[in-house]
Amino acid sequence: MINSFAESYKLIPSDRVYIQNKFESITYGDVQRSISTFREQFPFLVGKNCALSSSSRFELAKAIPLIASVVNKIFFQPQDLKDEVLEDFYSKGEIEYVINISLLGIDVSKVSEVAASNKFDQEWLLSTSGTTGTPKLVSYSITSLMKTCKNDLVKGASFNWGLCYDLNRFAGIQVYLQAISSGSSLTISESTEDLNSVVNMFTNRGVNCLSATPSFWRKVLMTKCSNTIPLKIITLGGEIADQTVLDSLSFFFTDSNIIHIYASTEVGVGFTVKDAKAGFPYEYVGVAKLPSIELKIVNNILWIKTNRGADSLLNGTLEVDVEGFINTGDIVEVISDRVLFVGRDSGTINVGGNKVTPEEIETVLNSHPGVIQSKVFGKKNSVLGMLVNAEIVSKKIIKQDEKKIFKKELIIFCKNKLAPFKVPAVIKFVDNIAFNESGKIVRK
Amino acid sequence: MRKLILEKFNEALEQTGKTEQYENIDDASILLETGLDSLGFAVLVAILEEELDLDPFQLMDEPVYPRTFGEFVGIYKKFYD
Repeated sequence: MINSFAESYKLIPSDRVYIQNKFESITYGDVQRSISTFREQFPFLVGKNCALSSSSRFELAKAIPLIASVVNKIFFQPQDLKDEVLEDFYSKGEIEYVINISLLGIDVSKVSEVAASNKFDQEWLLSTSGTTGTPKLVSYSITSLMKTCKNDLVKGASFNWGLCYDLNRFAGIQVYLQAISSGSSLTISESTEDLNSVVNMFTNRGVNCLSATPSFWRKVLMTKCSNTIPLKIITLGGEIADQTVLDSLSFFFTDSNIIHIYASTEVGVGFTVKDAKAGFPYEYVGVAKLPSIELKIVNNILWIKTNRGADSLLNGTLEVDVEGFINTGDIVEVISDRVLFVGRDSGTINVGGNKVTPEEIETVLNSHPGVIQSKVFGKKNSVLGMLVNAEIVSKKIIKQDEKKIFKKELIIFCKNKLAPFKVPAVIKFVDNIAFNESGKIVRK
Repeated sequence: MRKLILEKFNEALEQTGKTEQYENIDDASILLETGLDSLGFAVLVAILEEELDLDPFQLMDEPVYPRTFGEFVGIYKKFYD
């Protein structure tokens, strides 16, 4: 088996910092030594299919090169999967061992016996987020996962990437692989850390490349000392990057290149936009306009054909047309020479990176005895990109002064049943809600 | 304007399940240290938009996100006039 990931380590000067946080710093040389120890300690993991689980990003980053140096397949197990989904994923991914990593060390347990068929290339399995229905499980060969990573070890010496994504998600893995393939350093924050302390650590550790969602960037821009981070490269992804956040970043970080990335767990890295303008140039659409991918717009929906997407989908489905284009589900609008993102075809609302399906909230609202019908939709918000709004048809006619009390009651009702980001921020009372011919709520 | 924002500020805190309530907030208070998280802050902007029919953050020429309560009030005053 070849492993472009494990091979890439051997070329990196051993005194370079691999990962660091507030307390610790580990060099690439340290990693090389740990790999040999790990092989001696866990000889039975050679060529096996393993799930990897940790609540600490730093501990996970410490373990990835060790595990990748011996196993056949790695499933990056998110922390929030339900037991039945996990069981299904273990079976579909033919997982034999679960490796739990914590501050106490590495704990290995056997979950099944599979006659592992060793593939030519190491497989990395990633899960999409499960907030909108059942999560998908996708499989990448490490080679296709690293296709868009630059590997200039000389230039890489001057880059220090900050990590503020989870390492068991596609976005986090992309940042990780980009840093490692150029022999750069990765400065790791934890999801539990306070933002001020993350910003201070990034400043003190000299982070000069940082990738985050637009909502995370807005929050960073509101912290006291955000402009002390010596940023050269700023990337945004995971949500619509609006012009305000792009302008604000250019304003505060005058020496940085601002890049927004169109990517998803299933499609992989689609394309990047480097002119710090919202959306992307219309000239990207069509045949042979971009390397490795092709874009088309059908009925305002963006379709993408790519040769660097997931190698296979082990759970869930994608809509693919006869020409091999995948439906991204993103609604776009063409304004002169620019393609702008409007929202999701499914009506899914992206609240600061958290996906919300309107139907889930409507079901809760409709279960309130005072509600006949409800319609939930996303409304543009300057802080979190989108926010949940609701229209309600009330059972009885409510007077102006009763509206406020009923609104409050509905919010408390939702708060008891839904995660905070799913609770409607603004509620309006309407006389009726429009339905289409098939009896579904009109969502566009 | 200050009074209205303070009232809605408390509403946003309550709506996002925070226990803090303020009689007054000092202009120099750091927004993210008041107990209002980014969801609460987003809700505040949304309910102020409902009330004033105005989202100043979409109108700004100089795109700046406020760090203190005073800056936040200042932005609304500037665009409401």
